[in-house]
Amino acid sequence: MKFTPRLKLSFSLFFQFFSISAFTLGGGYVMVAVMQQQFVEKKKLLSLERFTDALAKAQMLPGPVAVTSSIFLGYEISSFEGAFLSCLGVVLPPFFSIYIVYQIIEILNSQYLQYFMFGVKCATIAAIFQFLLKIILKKRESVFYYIILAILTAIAIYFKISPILLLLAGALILFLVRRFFPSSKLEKQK
Amino acid sequence: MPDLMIILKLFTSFLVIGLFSFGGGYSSLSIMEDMMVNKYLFLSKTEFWQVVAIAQVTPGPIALNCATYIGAKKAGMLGAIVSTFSVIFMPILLSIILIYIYKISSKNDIIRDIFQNLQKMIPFLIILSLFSLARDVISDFYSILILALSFLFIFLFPKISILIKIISCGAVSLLILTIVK
Repeated sequence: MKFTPRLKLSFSLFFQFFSISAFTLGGGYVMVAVMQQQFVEKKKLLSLERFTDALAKAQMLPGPVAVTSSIFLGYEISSFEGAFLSCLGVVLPPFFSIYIVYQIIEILNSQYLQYFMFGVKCATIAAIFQFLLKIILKKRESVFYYIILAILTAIAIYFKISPILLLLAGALILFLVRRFFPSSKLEKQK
Repeated sequence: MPDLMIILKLFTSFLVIGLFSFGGGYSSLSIMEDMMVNKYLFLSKTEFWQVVAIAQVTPGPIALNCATYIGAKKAGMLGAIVSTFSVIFMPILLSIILIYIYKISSKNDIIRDIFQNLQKMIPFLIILSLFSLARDVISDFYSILILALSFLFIFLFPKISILIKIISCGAVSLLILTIVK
């Protein structure tokens, strides 16, 4: 295998993404902030503009933010080799850490661990609630949007319909309303 | 040797979960719960939220951590590899397709529009998982007490890292439940 400069750059990306993924606690969005520090400010591998542009595309897609971001950033910096190795670098550390944690928990599983995890579950509710508030308060939407949201939630809870179907239905309704009534009263209440 | 059927089910279900995990992390949990608990009966509801709690205190994206953990729990190392790979497969595929589309033309209003509308459904998915998690947690007076304390912890100290707050909630819960039970 020839070791071209681009391949060399891609491998250095692998190690950088690997260490970001291994040592950043607090999930995807924190990781993205660290990526900006590393690639834009410290290593100057790409401009802030290209960084933001790549992230906007990455966050449009489904999937863990850290994974899609690494693909688009890796591609921007070093084409498909970069994208592949960056993604691998992000995925490997949590894989091994979770696998080890799984083994430990299976051995340690006791009443006390259950008590501890109960508190973590409660904290998770609070953290998810905080996240929900943040995304709802970030952007004001039309009244119509909130009504759709409430109806879908009620249907999902009372009728046990798959959330995937309701997700698609809701997105389709919003899409159609925006396409066919772009200047409707309901959409303009902002 | 783990059951081949289980591996296949893990593969297909995480493929679908990955495809619909808009907004990453928390918003993929309600779909994952529906698949794992209601459809394939891999885990009980309590077990599922336990896995989420573990994923929350381990480094890495939460959806990815849950996939690895559930895979390991159901089918060992092979299960872990298959689940992790399949949950990121569709996002990777879509990324590659999107990169090619943007190479051909940089103006793609309709694609942006479709994804934006899907993104707007993120609050719906999150509210669902909140309902389910709350139903699983709330049972007696002490559970409500610990939940209330957790909300205080998480919301009151914006300067402290979220991980430290979550671990202290666990410690408080351990203390309270050990004393009363």
